Amino acid sequence: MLEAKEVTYRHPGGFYLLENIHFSIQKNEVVGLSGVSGAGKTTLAKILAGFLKPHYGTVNIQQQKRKAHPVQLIWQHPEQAVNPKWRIRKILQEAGNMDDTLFNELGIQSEWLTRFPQQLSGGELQRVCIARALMTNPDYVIADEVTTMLDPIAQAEIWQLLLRMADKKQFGLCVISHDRHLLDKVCDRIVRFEELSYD
Amino acid sequence: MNIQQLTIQHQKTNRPILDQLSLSIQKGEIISLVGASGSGKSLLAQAIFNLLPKSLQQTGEIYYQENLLTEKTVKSLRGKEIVLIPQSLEALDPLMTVGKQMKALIKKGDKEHYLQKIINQLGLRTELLKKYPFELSGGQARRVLVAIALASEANLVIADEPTPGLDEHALRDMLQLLTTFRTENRALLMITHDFQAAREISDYIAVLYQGEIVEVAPVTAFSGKGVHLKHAYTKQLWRSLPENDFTTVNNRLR
Repeated sequence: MLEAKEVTYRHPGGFYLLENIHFSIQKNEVVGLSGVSGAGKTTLAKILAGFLKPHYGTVNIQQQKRKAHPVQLIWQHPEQAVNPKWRIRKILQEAGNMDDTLFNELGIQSEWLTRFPQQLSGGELQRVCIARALMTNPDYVIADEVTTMLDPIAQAEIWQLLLRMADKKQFGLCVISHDRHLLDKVCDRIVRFEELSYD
Repeated sequence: MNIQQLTIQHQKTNRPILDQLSLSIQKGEIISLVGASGSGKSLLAQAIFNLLPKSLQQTGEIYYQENLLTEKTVKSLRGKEIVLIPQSLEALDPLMTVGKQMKALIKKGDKEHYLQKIINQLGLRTELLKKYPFELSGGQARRVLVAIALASEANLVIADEPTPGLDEHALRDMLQLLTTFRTENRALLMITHDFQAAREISDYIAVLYQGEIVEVAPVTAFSGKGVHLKHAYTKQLWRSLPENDFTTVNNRLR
């Protein structure tokens, strides 16, 4: 289980964005997280994935020792999450050994590998980012508004892929989204961000 | 505005990205252009503003109030008569406070008063005006971009994906705000993949598929099982929504 307890965080010199946050997710569970803009959902995601350290509180993850962080984050804007001057192959290689089976499952075509990020569509590039996250065999994946920038068909495709992979690889999936219909469709349970902090 | 037979193709390969696209929009109308990501939606906005990258070639005509848009006329119209609400949040100047950036576009009258009115309409707090873009959340920044367009006096507003990343309340405010372009008898062309948003505020929805507009449907056609929709792609788009079947077809209609 991934468990965040009493997590408190503020931006340097700023106000407290997160105060006494409690959040947990099981492996093989799909949890939706919704809440108003600017509430700190993405900041919490960054803390869970180890990009930021909370000022107070803990994040506990049962895990074996290994190189990559057990919580992988997939971002809203894939084009901002990759090095624009690297070809797709290099972007993927950075995450570990190339896994053709995985690429096939995600619908990543071999000719994409020699292209630059700007030569792929948003949906295609998001698949690359998902592959990069899954190549490390994470225990948990946080998808932060990952299909917000995509059209409905690409969105449905990405979610079917993510749910299938979560089922197959048994990782816990945290879905951050404002789309009530989407959360209702894909999640086992939905929590509102405002409900995460209590005294 | 009247777009006639607009074709955009790669300079080298002559492969068309937009193929003989025609669309017109009148004062007081909201039209949404929806389509797959990578279908060239944003290129249309770039073409209208004459901002296409040099590697792309454009043929066809765009008229604004009976006048043909050329490199010269666009320069005199953009930012005044026609404004763009850009997709990228990086369009904000990182070194200037939000308030200053908005004030720069208000042409006349009591700037402070007008600014306050817009801020209220947007559901944003006054403190926000003193902030720099990096201090804003994605949703706040997006609303600021619309506020900047609203502050201008343009009669035609092109909004390139104005809604992603907004929570329910912010989305509500945003859509409400976008409809003010209609009540003020201005025209709004919204380029989006956000079907819900398009459905809620548009008069017509134009569906872009493989570089062509396959259907311009009145917004009422998007309901139920979509029996009033004509093109197979439009139907599929409608069915793939999470509140409908959420289905995909593996070999997309190629």
